[in-house]
Amino acid sequence: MSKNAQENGTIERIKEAVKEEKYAIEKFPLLELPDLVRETVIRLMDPIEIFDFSQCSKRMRRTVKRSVRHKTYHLYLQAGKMYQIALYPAIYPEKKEKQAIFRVRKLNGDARRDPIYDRNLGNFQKIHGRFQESVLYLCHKSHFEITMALVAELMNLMTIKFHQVRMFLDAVENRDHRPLVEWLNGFPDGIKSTHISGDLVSNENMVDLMQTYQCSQTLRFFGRLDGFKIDHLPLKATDLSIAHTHWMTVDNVLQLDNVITFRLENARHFSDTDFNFILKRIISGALPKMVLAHFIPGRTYNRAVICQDIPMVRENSDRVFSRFPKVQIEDVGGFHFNLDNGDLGSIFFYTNVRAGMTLKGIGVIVWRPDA
Amino acid sequence: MSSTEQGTSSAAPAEPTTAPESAAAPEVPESFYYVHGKDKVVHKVSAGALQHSALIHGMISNLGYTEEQAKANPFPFENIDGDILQMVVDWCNQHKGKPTPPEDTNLPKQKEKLFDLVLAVNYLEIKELLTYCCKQVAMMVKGKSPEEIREIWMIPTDAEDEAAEKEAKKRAGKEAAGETAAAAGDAK
Repeated sequence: MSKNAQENGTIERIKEAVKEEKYAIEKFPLLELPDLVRETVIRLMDPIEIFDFSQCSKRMRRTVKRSVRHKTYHLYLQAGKMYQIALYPAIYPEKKEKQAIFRVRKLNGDARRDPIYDRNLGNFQKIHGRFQESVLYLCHKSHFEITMALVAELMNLMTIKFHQVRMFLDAVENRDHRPLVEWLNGFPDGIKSTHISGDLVSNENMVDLMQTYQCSQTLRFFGRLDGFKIDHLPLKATDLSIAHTHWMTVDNVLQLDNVITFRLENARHFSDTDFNFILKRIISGALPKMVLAHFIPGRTYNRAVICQDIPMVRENSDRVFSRFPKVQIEDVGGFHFNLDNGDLGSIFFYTNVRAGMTLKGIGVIVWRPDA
Repeated sequence: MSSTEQGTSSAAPAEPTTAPESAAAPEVPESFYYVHGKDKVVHKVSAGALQHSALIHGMISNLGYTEEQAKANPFPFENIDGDILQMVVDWCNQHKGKPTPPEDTNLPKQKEKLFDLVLAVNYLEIKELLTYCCKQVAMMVKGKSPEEIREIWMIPTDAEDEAAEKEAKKRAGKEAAGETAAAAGDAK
């Protein structure tokens, strides 16, 4: 059957017909539409299409700027081996809309480039870009520089609110995060939330990052840096989470003057006496803004040592700890204490048992009337 | 807004909510209006369907036509093709008194017709249909490169824009020179 079709040339004719249909681009005179209609069309486009459309000509760039300058998007940046920029509509997550994703990769070698996929972007002429499965892939020999140019271009076209950055320090170019941090510090409104991961970063780089990065709200560190210690910790973030605490010292904890909520995981090298010292310092006025501190020692601890020399009143509310069988887990419970300035503080010792893993933690809450 | 609401009640007195209550009373017929496009073919449309068009709704709310008067005076839309007007009328009839769905797939696929439809809908001020049409236009360039977008939407390049601008400037300069020469001749 197929042989006959080949002989008759049917397949070739069908192929040609399909090809013709595919390449017969029907034209639509967009510029002949009334201005307001044209602006409506542009506003209904996805950010990737808006970006591509703005690259058509200088005039179209101005048109796009005029049409979508009031449209707000939230930007999520991922920095590592590859840079990813995700733009969410400002109404997300009330109305779930698909995000627009730009992925910027390093262009290696002399890969053959088809000029049809070239895009102009700022001062960088001819970036290799390809749209695939609702993602726009861009390749350039300096993918970090092109990311900066791309974000600047997007900020130029529409209203962008920089929401979150995820940094994978082990994968960053030359394992040097400094240009990235310098660029992020340059945003006038700051970056609200940052997640930093890295196991192989040098101590010098980590100290530099800790001392220079200006994250305005939430900062989370994930990494297993052995032997890393830092003396001075001038952090701007108000919500701090540190997953591995090899490099944190008691002094570091007591330097967190701006921090409101604080989470310290795997705090194995913090002894019970250290926790007692931190608690006493909180009572005497250290960490003036701290409202919630959450320590997860990752080992068994002695409650009597932690609360030593601090007058405590036992929490007698069954509601809070009713789900814990008190007979089996004696350590679970809450206590209240008074701060020197008259505020009330609470300390909770709790256990979470999930998937066969027992997680013991200490939660300290300070009831600050001004907060 | 209030005027259009009043107009609706006067133009379409037969409300569907009131009809079942007064079963004994004679049903008030729904009022109809007549429109025609470039081809002079007259389309009969109910006032309820015409509510979608802000332009026509604004016109009929202040007219207070009777059935005979409406029949005798169809609204002329000389700038809209007959088939496009038919399409618009069909859409209005389909969506009469219904909440508009988030997407409409019954729009024409041919680009020429879509262009005329967009112009007609924009002229008639049918907001929902205009949004669907604009979305359809925006979908044309989904996943396309800037070069392809330029080709589909017939966008001139920077060089072409510059050339057109220069030409426009030259023309404006010539016109201005001609005007000054004419003014000087008048003064003499």
